[in-house]
Amino acid sequence: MNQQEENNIIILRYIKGELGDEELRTFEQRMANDPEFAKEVAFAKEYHAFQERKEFEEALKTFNQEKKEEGFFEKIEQQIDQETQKTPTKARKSITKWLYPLAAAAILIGLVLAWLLLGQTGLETSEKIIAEVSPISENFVDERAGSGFSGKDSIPIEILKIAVRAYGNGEYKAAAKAFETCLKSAKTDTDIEFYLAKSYLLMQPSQTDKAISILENLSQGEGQEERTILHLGAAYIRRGKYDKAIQFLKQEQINATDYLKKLDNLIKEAKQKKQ
Amino acid sequence: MLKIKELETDLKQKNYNHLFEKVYDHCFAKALVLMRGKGGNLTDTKDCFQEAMIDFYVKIKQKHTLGITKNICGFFARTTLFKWYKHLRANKVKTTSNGDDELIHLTESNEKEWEVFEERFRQMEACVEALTKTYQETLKAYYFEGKQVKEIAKEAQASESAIKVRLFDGRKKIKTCMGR
Repeated sequence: MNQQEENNIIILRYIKGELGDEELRTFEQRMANDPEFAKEVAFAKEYHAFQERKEFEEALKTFNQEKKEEGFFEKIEQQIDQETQKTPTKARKSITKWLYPLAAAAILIGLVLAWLLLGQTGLETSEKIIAEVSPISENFVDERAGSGFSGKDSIPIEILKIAVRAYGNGEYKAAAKAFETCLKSAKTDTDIEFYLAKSYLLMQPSQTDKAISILENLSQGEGQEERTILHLGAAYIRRGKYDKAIQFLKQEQINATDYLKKLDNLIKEAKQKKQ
Repeated sequence: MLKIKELETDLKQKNYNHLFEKVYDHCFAKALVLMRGKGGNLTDTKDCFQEAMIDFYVKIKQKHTLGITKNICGFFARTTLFKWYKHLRANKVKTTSNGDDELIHLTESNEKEWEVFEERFRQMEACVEALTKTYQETLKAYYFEGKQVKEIAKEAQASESAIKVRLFDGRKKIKTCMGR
């Protein structure tokens, strides 16, 4: 094996990330001191990346061809058609088109009536979401006290009981304080975090920013829940952050299924208020 | 639930079929629903979804991360839709403006960066394809598969010196073609 072949082998190992610490240091020193070698590495690196991607693209093409032959794509389309037949979009669109003038008039009348009857108490979607009390399950404390729960050793169960009781009684200030104490010990309990945010939202509007901060953290985690998304969207709207609400909710809308309508309503509300 | 880490591992280990199976099974339907809502059909979705897969590949290779930790199907659905809009704009078809501006805003900044890589890749592809098949095979065997000159010569039923010439010339031609 000549020098050039030896170079090629070590360059390939470098590209594949197979060099050990010591080898890597020597390799990088050599690149810094030998411009010809550095050029050789640069070429090999780019060529390798190109071939690797070609390989990926060819595999993808073959996969698509096989799936096509299997009828995979058509099957998915049929499934979607079957689901949408339950609520056919075209029919709905055409009905909506004809009913627009009537619907607009009805909504207008409805709004006037609602305003007359309810005055300022008529709630918008965002405030409805916030106002709906998310009940805490009966087993909430027991689950955390019983075996098998990861945070059982660190959650102060007596304080958690106080928090749950206060939340149930509508004493959100006391609930928030107790939930906060629990979280100092068990920082990763997403349920407690949610109920703390909810307590802030229900307590008074001035506490909304605190709730937003918690909900933003929760929304970053894996397996985030619909309740987090809806409450965060609603909290943004309450604070007048309409652009942020639209951007956030739009992103989530793609993944939404059964709570799509609520998301749609929140987006509409944010857009209307923005205007 | 589809986990980004698992997809990244499949990609690194070149378990491409495993990766494609997972992504298509979990995310294609979502992309199709979204595309149909914006006037695209099954063929459009297939093409754009394929482009989204390549986008995924490029992002992981270049940045070693997708920059997201959740909602992987959301990424594929959004990227598919964005590719669709891009095609429409390229063909001067007006897109509906029912709130899609936000989507474009969300993906356009990444797209510019993507186009730079894409251009470089296409340039390399053109340069390699300009070589004869024998040259292409020799370069691939040596620089990609890590074979030795002796081995390549045996497989190609050529002399070792002929292989060395192909390697030298081939590399030189690509460098010239790439403007170096």
